[in-house]
Amino acid sequence: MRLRELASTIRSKNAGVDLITFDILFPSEEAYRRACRSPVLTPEALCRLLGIGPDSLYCFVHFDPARAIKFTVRRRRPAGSPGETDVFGTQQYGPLLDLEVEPAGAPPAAMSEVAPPAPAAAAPAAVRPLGCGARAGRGGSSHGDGHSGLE
Amino acid sequence: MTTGTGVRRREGRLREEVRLLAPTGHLGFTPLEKESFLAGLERDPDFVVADSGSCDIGPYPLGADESASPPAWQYHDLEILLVETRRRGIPLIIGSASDTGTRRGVDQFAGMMEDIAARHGLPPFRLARIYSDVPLERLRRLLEQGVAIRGLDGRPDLTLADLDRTSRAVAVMGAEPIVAALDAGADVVICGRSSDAAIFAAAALWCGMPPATAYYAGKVLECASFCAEPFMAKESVLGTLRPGEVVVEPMHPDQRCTPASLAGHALYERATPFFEHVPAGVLDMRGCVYQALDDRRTRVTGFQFRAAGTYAVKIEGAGPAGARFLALAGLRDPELVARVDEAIAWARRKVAERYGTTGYELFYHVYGRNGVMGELEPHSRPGHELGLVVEVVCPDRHRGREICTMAARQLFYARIGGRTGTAGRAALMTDEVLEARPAYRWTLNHVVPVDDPLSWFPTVLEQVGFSSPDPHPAPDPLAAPAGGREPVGAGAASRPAAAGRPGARPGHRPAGRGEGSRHAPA
Repeated sequence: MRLRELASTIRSKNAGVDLITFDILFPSEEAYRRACRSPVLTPEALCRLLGIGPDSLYCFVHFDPARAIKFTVRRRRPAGSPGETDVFGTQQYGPLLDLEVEPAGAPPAAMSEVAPPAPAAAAPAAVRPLGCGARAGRGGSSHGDGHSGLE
Repeated sequence: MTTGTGVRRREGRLREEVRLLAPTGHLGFTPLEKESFLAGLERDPDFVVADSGSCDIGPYPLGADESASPPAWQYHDLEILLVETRRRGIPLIIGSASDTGTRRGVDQFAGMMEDIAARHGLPPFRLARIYSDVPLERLRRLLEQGVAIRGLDGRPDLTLADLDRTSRAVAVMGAEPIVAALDAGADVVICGRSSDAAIFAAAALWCGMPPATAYYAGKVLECASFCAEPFMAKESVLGTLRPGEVVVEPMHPDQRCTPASLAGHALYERATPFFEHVPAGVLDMRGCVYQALDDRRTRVTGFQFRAAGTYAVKIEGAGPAGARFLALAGLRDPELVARVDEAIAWARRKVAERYGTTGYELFYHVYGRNGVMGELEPHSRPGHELGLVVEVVCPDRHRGREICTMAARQLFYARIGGRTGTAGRAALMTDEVLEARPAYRWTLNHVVPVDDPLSWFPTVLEQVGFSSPDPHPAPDPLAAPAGGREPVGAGAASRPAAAGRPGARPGHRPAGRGEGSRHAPA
């Protein structure tokens, strides 16, 4: 099944001026679990899809309350700089739509530990498992909103 | 004329329940929908809170200090909000005034409010303006003192070179200056650049809500109807706060706030759904529990707030990159479509022959291939035709125009072999080169430690509207030199008001440190 058929919402959007974040939301627990197991929705597979190195992937999380897979990538240049093509970052999700969620012959993705990017000030030593697994990003923390977008 | 009394509801700071009404996620960006806002007012909110700014609109508005929204739409929204809240005596907080939150934006909104107050004959009210402009000199001094100004989202720490590239900077205020303005008696607060969550949190904190409840409410309400389903923009949403819980309810009859819609909104335009940073600390949403109360309302509990060891504010800054020119071209010949990279290489080479390769930036956006995603595009198979946008940014305007003209016309003359299209290798939409507004860049996205939250956000409190002079004015603890500012309410003082508040004094006075005496935040 293609991701566009399994998901209820697929979108991308700026997260501040230096990041673009992708949200994939699912209509049911079953659909969400299938996506979480998909080998094409892992950090490594998404980096390959977008042609970026692992350092450009800011974070990747599974978020159970919203039945969502979310990942965030660094922009090559800050939003709106000369050469910009998508100042709000809202049309970057296109390549996700036709991903085959359960490609023939591929083993399901391994469930790994979750560690969302911790706040700089009070980084907890251990983060309790969230969701059906994923992996976290690196680097700083997006600070204080400032980045509310169109809304 | 309003018939309201304009009596402020500020009694009972320690309230068991606080209702916050969010009418729009970005005031003025497109006009708000009045009907659901009026429905929200029927619910007797304690505050109306609306954000009006963003850094999502690109660096131009801040760098050039212009609004991104049409002033007429801003006026439309402010008129509805001010008239209806003053009529009912509900305090109003506006965040990130006029897109940028610069002094220009704050003063522009204050001027609109004075005009609206005069036209509607509103009873007098106290208007606070909180400025958030950051003198670059102040940042320079901090760097020279060896203070580390940390870069966000992978940016390096701030350097003097970053400041040299910056034309304007604002600090993103937290709740503290807003609470101070409410303490000083403001009925309406116009904030400079401000954290979306903090403008709501300030209202809740001022009413005695715990920080976790206050900041979670701000996080979930800041985009108004974006937290509800189905998708609708510019509709009002009501948050009902009790210590430890926030209940969210849409005011449009066809929307619902469900556990999924609220949790889904936690993702929106944030790098992670787990944390929200504000100057005073971090809101931790990992433990949030979403519980549907009925079809339309959801209760959220389980959020936590950890105070930061160091109070720190985010600084945004933008600086000029040069004059900007665009040219538009199309390719239809399949042979040329297949060889577009050769045509671009040819044109680049011809530009470089005459203008060198430095001192300008030249981009060819190839729509129909990877015009939207650029380097991230995994499927760069061209369509049957291509659209090319030639973009040139150059500090020297005349040189920039020439370079863009060359970069477009040399597509027309591209020597890439083949026997077709020898009269012209591209369709130029017009031979004209289009001059855009100057290009800017985000130069600052950093966090600076701040010893006094109020000292970076000077506040001015003034009275708007006419009232009889008080023959026995009470001693004014805030009285201080006005710093040369003219009373902004003076224009409105020439016409009678519907109702005056006893003891109200015309004129303005500063509040908050930096302009006068200090108010401790709650």
